[in-house]
Amino acid sequence: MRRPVVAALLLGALAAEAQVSEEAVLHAVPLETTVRGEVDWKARQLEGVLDEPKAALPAFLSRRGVRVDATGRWKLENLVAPPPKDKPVARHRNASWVIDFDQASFTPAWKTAVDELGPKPTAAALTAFAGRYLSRKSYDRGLDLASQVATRREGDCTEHAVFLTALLRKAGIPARAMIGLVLVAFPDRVRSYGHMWVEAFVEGRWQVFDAALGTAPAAWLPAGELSDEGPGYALGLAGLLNTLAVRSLELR
Amino acid sequence: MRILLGGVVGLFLVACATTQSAGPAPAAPPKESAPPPAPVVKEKTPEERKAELMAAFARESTPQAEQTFSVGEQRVTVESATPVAPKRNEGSSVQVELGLGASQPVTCFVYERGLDVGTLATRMAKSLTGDTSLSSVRVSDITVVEKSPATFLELGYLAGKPGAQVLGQLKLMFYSSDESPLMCLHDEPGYVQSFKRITSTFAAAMARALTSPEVKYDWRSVSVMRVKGAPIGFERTAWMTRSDGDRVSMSVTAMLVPRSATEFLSTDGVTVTKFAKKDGRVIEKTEVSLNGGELERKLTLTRTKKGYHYEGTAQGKELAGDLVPTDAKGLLSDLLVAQKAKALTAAKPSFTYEEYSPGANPAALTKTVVTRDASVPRGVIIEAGPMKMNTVLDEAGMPQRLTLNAGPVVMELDRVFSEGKVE
Repeated sequence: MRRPVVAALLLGALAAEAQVSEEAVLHAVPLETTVRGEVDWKARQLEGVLDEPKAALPAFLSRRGVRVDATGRWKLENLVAPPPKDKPVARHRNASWVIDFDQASFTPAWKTAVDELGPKPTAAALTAFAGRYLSRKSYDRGLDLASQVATRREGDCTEHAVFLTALLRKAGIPARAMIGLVLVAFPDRVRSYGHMWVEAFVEGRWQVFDAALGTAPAAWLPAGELSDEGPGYALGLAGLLNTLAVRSLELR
Repeated sequence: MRILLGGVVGLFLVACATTQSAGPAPAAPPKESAPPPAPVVKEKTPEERKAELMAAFARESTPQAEQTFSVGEQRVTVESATPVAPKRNEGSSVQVELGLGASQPVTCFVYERGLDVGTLATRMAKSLTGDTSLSSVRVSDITVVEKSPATFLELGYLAGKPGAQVLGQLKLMFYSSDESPLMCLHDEPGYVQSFKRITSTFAAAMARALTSPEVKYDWRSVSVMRVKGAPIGFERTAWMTRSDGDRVSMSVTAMLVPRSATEFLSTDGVTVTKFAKKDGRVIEKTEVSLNGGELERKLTLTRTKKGYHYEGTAQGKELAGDLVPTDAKGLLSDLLVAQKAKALTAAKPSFTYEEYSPGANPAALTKTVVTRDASVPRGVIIEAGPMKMNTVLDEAGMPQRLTLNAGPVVMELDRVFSEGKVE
């Protein structure tokens, strides 16, 4: 009915995600607050209270089995989620419209990675490489394809994630781009951001690899996987972003 | 950007299509213009400096005398503290300087062809290099001037070496119009409302002078997109009837979505749809979109015996294929969708249709469901996949106001101008 609606919606949603590095976080736009909570990093717990006791928990908490009591209090007892039990399938290994490591324009980046890391790079080494290779950390791209990222060498968390996913698959490591919230610990507070990162199947389990975040203490709360990597990925992305429909977490 | 696909979709439309349509990058980047005031003077106390800065940023000028000048064959009268002597630049723009009653004049570029608001805004922000760095970005207003949208952007910047920096403010106005696309800038702190006044009256005068009485619109509109009340973009739409009776609708969009204190994501888009006089079905549709001034998608959908064929590029890749709509009569135009939406009742509360929306999927038709929302007068809910838009229709069934929920972001689109009839 209204063509710009699609683009507007997605771009607006993407405006809420952020590449989370210490520097970037300083001027990233945090989500609005409707859920307040407290992080205990030692106990790896996250607990809080809803502004409205009967309000629904955001999907990234409810899918972790979190329940709300009559007063609106809730508790996530294992902040670091157990690895998902699903096994890699073909799409986690193959090139796609978004994760297009089969494009010629991706090859120079891959050659650079192999030159630096050797012919069998590890997931951790590729993660560090991706963070370095994207030399311009910027927020002025929407969601570029991996081949575009390889050429432009810039972007935010979405570009870091699709590029790293492509590198991992090219290296023969099953990988997928994940969307959700990330909690980042700063000396005086914890902040939450909409975020995209990577899960790679390493040592028999899915593990988080995040080229955008660096080494800051963090916890990843996934809303889901970018499973539609075809030309219509935007609708799938919009669906995942909708599940983040918490105006955000305010954490201590 | 204005896409005018002349020989393809309409007699009135002039060919064009890419970022080049905006013409050459405008002259006068901030660092080349005379230095702005508000220097940081070491002898003063921080409080005094702050007061001085605040005064500089708050100042305005009174309306200036009127000046009359010629642009081509047209006589134009606008306010200016100094005589106006337009000069033609190499390329396709006319440069006009208007006296604002400040140290620096307002410089305007009037283009022969359409301008891409997002692209120009990106270029201006990126022109701040070397000893000049961007410190803030703000879309201060998007309003309608003489039937077309005017976008006002403020770029704060720091110029000079560390320790001797001055604070600057570049104000920009982009006028997205078929008749008189133009951009104005003023590089001096303050005069925000004065700049808005003088550039708005200039744009209106140019639009009136350059509008051809031979171009007739069936319907035209301007809508403004906002997030949390802050303007982030616009859509302007025009419907026309070709000499053969078929219809053409053209939609131009631009968005400047803030991503950080100094960065924004810019997009420009044009969609031209030709639909049949006899049944209102889509005959042809072309969409071009830019991201940060670079081509993102350029796709054309054409009618075939079995359905439609699409062809073009999306995110740097070639795409082509055939699409067979569920409705063998063809895809609905916006006119038919409006008529169906208007006709919804309690007994028949919804309908489903397919549309070719490359932003959602450039290689498939997107299924869209429109459902009557009885809780709101003329309310409907439009759903495309996971996206849901609460919408208020006008009397003709066209969206008057849309509210879009995308995770944590709520975006609103309000129509702020329309004329003509949807029929």
